[in-house]
Amino acid sequence: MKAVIKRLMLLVTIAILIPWNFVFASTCDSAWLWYQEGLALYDNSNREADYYRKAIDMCPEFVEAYNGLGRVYLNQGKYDLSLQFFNQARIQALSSDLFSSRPGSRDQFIESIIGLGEVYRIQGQYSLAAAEFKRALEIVPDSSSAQNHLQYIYKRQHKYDSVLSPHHKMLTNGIFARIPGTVLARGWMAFSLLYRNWEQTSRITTDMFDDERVALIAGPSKREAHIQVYALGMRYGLSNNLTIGLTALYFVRDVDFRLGYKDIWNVNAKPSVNGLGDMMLLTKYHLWGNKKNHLSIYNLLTIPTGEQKTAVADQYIWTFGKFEKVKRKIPLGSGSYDFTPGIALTTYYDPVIFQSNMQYRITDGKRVGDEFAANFAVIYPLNNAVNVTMETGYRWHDDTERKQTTYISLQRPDYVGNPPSIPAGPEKIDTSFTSKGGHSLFIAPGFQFTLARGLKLELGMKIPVVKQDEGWREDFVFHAGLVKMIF
Amino acid sequence: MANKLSYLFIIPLLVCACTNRSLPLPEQRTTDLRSYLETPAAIIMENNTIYQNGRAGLRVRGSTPVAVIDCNFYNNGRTGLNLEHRANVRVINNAIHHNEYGGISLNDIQKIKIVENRIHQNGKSGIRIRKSTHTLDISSTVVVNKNAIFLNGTGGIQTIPTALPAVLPIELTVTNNIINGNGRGGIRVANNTRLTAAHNRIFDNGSAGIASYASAGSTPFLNLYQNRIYFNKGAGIHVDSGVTGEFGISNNWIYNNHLAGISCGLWEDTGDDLVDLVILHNTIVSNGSNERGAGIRNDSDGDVIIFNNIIAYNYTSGILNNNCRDASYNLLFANWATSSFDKTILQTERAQYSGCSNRGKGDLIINPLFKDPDNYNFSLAKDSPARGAAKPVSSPLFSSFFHDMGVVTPANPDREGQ
Repeated sequence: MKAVIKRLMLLVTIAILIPWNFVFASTCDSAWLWYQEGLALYDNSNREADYYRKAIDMCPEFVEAYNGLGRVYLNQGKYDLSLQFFNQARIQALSSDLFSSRPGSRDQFIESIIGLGEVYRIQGQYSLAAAEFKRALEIVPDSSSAQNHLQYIYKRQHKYDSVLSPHHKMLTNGIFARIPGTVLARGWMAFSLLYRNWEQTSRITTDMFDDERVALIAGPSKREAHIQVYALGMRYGLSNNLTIGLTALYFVRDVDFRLGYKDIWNVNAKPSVNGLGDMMLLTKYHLWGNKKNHLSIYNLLTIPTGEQKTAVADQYIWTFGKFEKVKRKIPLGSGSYDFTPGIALTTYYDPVIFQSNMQYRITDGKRVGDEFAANFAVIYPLNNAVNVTMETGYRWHDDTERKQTTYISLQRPDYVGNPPSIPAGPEKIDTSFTSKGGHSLFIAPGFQFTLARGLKLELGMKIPVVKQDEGWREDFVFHAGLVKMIF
Repeated sequence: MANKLSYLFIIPLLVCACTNRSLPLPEQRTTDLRSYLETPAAIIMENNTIYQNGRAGLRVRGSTPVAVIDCNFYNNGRTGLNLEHRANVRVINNAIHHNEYGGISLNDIQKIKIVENRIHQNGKSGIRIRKSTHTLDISSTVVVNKNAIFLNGTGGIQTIPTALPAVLPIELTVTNNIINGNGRGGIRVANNTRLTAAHNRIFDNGSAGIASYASAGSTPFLNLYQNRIYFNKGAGIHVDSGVTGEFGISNNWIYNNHLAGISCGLWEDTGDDLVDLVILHNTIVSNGSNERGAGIRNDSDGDVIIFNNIIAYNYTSGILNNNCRDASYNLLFANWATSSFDKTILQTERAQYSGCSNRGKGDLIINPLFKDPDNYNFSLAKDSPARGAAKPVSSPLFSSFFHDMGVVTPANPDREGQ
């Protein structure tokens, strides 16, 4: 009896000491040969299935062989068996350290999931099938097989909205960085109606004017303006690489009138003007792209449709021999055809979309100066209906030298001085006014809400971080917009 | 003289009539193999196992008729069979596998028939056909029939003729084969190749099921009909450059390929003018993945006439064509993210035609009512609207005019000995 116990103990000791991985590995190596025999047939025959079964007998964690059996039975129309073996493949893949350490193990794991989905598809169990294909995409977002099956399943379920691809998601703009690297497919259209609202101020100093008489009247002081812009835009995919677009601007602008010098006039009014601004023609070409990166070059052509409006204050001043309301002509456009070439890049790093663009506006420098802008936006989908965005942007404005005509009224006796003497009364002065440029930086958080298929509501705010020293300094910019895609 | 100079190299390290492992040969032979020997072979190699040679398992040069029957070529350092320089060889019922370079390499051959072989798991192509300027005066005829060509490292069948137009073509006939799981395309032809591919099942390949290219001047000539082309990771059929013959691209079932069902021209490259195709009576279903995959996509500037096809459930549009007028009498349904039931007709049409403003003459946008599409059976149900809606055409495939859209004669390789 003791001898038996001793032998038993010896066996147990040996069993403990033996490297079981080695044993399993050895039997799995032999199983691999049987698996190869099956693969050499690859004809969905019972003989092929037998080889895989033999391989599983020798190596119970042989995921490839389970998948092979699942495929054979799928093609033989034995769906229950097929489900059984694809399930086994998945279980073994999840539980086997040996398997997970092998190269290509992820593909085998995905094959089992897609196999399950395919059986469910064939059986008409769409919900189960969709769940499997979605699971596959969670593991391998690029799995074209899973994407292919899933779009079919969605269509069979009449869930057409769910078909939309990652590319469609990538068509999302930033709120302020509005030009993405993606282009619309041919025939696709996007409409947008945007509203922006901000205050801006500018210091006026005497050195900005060429003529000191005007400088004395205007400065030193400060200008303020409250601006509201409505932008109606349309973009169209002319081809799969070329998108064109047109945006029309409409301004409502409260103008700050401050006229006076040493208690003379003391005009302080804020009349409002509104009218059509410039139109922007976009031409964008998709230069390069793959599934997750798209690079485009573009040009924005400014068409000077902006009207010049006359702002009229309520206050009267005595000029030209009578009382008149104070007037100022306010340009709502640039007055010139400006080119703005740029480059835009969109990158999709699931689930985040990165979007950036750089552009340089070339102007004649009369009403507006040259401008360089660089924007970067991060768009993160909180869920299918809500995106949260965070953007940052840099601007550089060049100085602008504007022509200005000013009428002054000379308060003095007629014909002072020797000829050519200057008569008292009104005088027209043509001068120029230099608006300073500078650097500015902003950050802009925002939200995008999907209201219906292809319809988005945008809300955002631009917060100035660095304001330019001179010239117009923007304060907070509030943005609301509606965007509708048609495909 | 040529015959006198013809010679045969057989360079196996081992030729024997037995093997220590069971050969995975087909369990049932469908034909008496000798019926393939229409003309007597001067040399017959039969029942040999040729393996682990440093270079090719078997190399044959010259026009002496040779038959290679019931052999097993594997683990050779280059190709299993290397047939070259005016070779006239019939390769029948062999197993050709795990060879380093490829299964069968054909270089400047005269006449090759490859029948009922299993060509699999070779390092590169299953069958690779080259033609150079050394044989300007002869055309190369290759018949590939009833083979299983699978799991090869690159393509299933590949032709690489020189691009010079003066070289006579490779006449390649590929029928009744199963071509699947190859690392790249199922069949890839280039330049001066005249390809007839019919009754094949081409699936699970790493890129296009059938692809056609030209590098200069000489365009492939294509007749592709009654094939089933599915689950390929590229397009079902991709014609970068090609001209169709009397059969055109017709009567194919093309489904679940990961790019377009049929694509013409390089993707987003509109500069190619070597495309002249007729695409008719195909059933093209559920192709595409990610942002790509129209039913039929034409990016070329060539002529692509598209009619009597059924195009449904494809990922993006149904027909994406540079020329909207070249498509008519097609049935489209549920391509991109709309069905025919959307409230706005405009939106539905835009999706089906990818931006063309109007549907083509005789086109239908309606559910085609397949018999069992979930199970890849795209035959038409009795009350399908595709019935009787086709434009009657005369084709050598049909004994009379057919009035149904889509595949008229379902390809059924099982019935044809596969």
